[in-house]
Amino acid sequence: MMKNLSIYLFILIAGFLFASCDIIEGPYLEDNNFIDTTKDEGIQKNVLILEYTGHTCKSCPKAHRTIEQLEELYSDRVISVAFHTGYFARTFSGDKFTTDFRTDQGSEMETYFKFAVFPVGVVGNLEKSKQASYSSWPSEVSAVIEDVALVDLFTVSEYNNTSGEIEIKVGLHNKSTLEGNVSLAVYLLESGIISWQKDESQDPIDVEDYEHNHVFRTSAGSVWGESLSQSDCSANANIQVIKQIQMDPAWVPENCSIVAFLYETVSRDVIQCSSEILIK
Amino acid sequence: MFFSRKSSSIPNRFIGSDNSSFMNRILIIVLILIIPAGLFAQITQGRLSGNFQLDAQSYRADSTIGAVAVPENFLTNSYANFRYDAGDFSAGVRYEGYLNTLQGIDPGNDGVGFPHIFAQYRHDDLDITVGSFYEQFGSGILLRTWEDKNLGIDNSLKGFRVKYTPIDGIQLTGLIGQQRIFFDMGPGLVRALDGNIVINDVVPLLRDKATRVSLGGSFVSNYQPDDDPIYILPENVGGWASRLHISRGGFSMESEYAHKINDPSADNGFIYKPGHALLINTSYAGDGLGIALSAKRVDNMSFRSCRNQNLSKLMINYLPPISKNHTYSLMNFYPYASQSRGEMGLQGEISYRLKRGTALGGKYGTQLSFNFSLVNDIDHQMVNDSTPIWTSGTDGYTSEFFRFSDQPFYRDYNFEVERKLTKNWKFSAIVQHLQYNQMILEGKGGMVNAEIAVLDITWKIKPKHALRLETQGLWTKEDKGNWAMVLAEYSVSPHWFFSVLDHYNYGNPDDTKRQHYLIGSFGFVKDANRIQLSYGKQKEGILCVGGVCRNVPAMNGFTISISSSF
Repeated sequence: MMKNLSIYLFILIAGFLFASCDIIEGPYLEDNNFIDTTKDEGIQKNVLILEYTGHTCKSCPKAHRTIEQLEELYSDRVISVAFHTGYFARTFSGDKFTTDFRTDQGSEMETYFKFAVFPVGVVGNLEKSKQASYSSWPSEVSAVIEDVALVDLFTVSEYNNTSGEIEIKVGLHNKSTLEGNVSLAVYLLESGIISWQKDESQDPIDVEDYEHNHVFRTSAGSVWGESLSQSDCSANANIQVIKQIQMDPAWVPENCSIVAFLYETVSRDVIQCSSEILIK
Repeated sequence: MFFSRKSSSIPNRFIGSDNSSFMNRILIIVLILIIPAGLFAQITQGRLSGNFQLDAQSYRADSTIGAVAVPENFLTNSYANFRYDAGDFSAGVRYEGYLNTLQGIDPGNDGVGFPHIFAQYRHDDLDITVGSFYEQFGSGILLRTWEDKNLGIDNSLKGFRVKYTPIDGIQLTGLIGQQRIFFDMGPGLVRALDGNIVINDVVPLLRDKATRVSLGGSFVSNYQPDDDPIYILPENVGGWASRLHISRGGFSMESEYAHKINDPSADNGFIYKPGHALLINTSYAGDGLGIALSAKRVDNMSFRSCRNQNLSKLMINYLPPISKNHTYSLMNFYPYASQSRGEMGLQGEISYRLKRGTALGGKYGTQLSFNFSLVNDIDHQMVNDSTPIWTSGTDGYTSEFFRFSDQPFYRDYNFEVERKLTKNWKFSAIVQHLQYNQMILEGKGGMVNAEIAVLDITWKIKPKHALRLETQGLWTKEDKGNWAMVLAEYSVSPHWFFSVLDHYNYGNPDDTKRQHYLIGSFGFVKDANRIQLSYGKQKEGILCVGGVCRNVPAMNGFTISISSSF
């Protein structure tokens, strides 16, 4: 009797588990009309994605497309930086993959993060243990984008097209005290670079006229930024920090942008970030 | 705290590290409660067993082979198992330390802790396990949790498992748990059931028949919350499998078919097509002859307990390889890894032992074997005229079940002769032809066509003293070009062995990369203790076990390996 009972119980549990399958009939995309994409820079919290990529990484365009989807979804409240680094960013002789997107700062990042796989990135944090696959970035962005912004952060840049020098005035207005040790990092990015990229969704896989966007070119000082003083972090402080970046003649100023972000150096949480097109 | 690590590596929304520790405390309380008083008497008369392993490697930069130094100078992986058995009761823990993780293994492991702890109680027809455990249903195409330290894989489940045998010939298994990832647990909740019936044991009339038949069925479901703002994702992803095993004398046939509902993930680029897998293995053995034939079809069958993970992390199922796992290094230079997105293949092997004392077999007999593997992509068709194949947020593609794609993934034809010539001499010789789709399998290059030859000779010089000489050659016009390899190994049993090994990439198209990779090693073995020290250069390569692979970077430095068991 007990043995028959156990079999019936087994069948019952199996039936219960079968019933717990979520078959999605379609449409498969979320209805995102309710998301308010109105930008109110410096008041709402923006989300920073540091992406690590390479032009011979055939899966990396999936990450690029995910960022495009997020930019479309959240307007410019999602700010991404693409570091081309490591094995997949190597250049080759011949006519393909000759563009060298690599930077010393990207190598420094790679030494810290010890990437096991590409594409990979961090969302709203610079901690190596937080590196995650591109497919989890949408979830991670949606988890923090509604957070309250602690600081209003913006940049005003002036480009001298004779000397190639960029002066960046970074403005901070703290709505409350910024706890911990806070660093400010400022990057120069370039978009619209047409060059080779492997893309497994294309046939042939080697795409000649791929558009590379948000490419990290250089930083003002260390890629990890510089610390702010304690007084700079106090509530209601209005701070202006001036940074300089030297343009390389090979970079197209019209396609460049300045990204600035603040992060706490122990938790490595990004507190706020901003992006500004260099030449409006 | 049972766990200590420098940092948490996985954003864990479902249950965090603190909860892991909490779970361990609960486990201990449960253990105390479930152990009947009488069992304490048995426990005091139990047996403790275990083992220990440490691998350490120093890293020196060597631009000639692409080896890089590490800031720590040397890295170590270590572990120790402790198991206590007393009557119907067993319990165990495993310590693991990655200080820091050896190159080639995911650095997410960095840290130390006791990630594996379990207690098991078996009495009559009941078998209960709480804590960490490994489980496999059938061939594993729907569920297999396993570990391999060389690959850096451990996807064990932590939770509860019950096995019950209501009558002879029927075994039922139910489990629930979360999978291990590094020193943490994944976000998914895995629930699974399996039943296996041995027909001959259940039906008395068939009990003594030579033909043995067994049937099995499994169901596995994973729960992971949907917090994605772009896609509507299934939170409960289920799959089922059925299997059949028939044997009679030397003949055996095993088959298993699995189906999984829509499971958009990073592996399939977030398409909603259901997954399928079919595996058939047949074999015959008798009178010196062995024949084996396998067929496999996989269609979108990656199954993980976290839809965002990659490589070998949090895999619920296992896709067995349909290629021979070679042991000689150059034969394993281009290994095949199972393709969860889709593959269709055949593998066959015929082996025959020429009898001893015959003209062909010689004085001691000769073993001949021929093996082949053929793997292609599956057929892919667009779901409609306007949607490219593999488009995210769609059904992805359609595929005819019995149609191969014209995209070859892998071809392997190899023939081996193994013969003992005299009392003191024996050899084996292998020739192999290989086609390897490097773009699909490694994401670079194109199709590699290679011929490989191996000659392995062992000379027993005198009692306890043996010399083994291994020579290999790989010839290809693609990738890194031609390779040669020589190994000389001298062993003084049962304690000592010494070896010198050189891989030489003499045919590299780039002259500066025509390098020797020379390694010298010696080791000492005593009872259950073994220590080995090596120094030299190791070439970059791919290490595969059971169709699962990892990249091994080029290295230059010392390696020390210590193992012991008790």
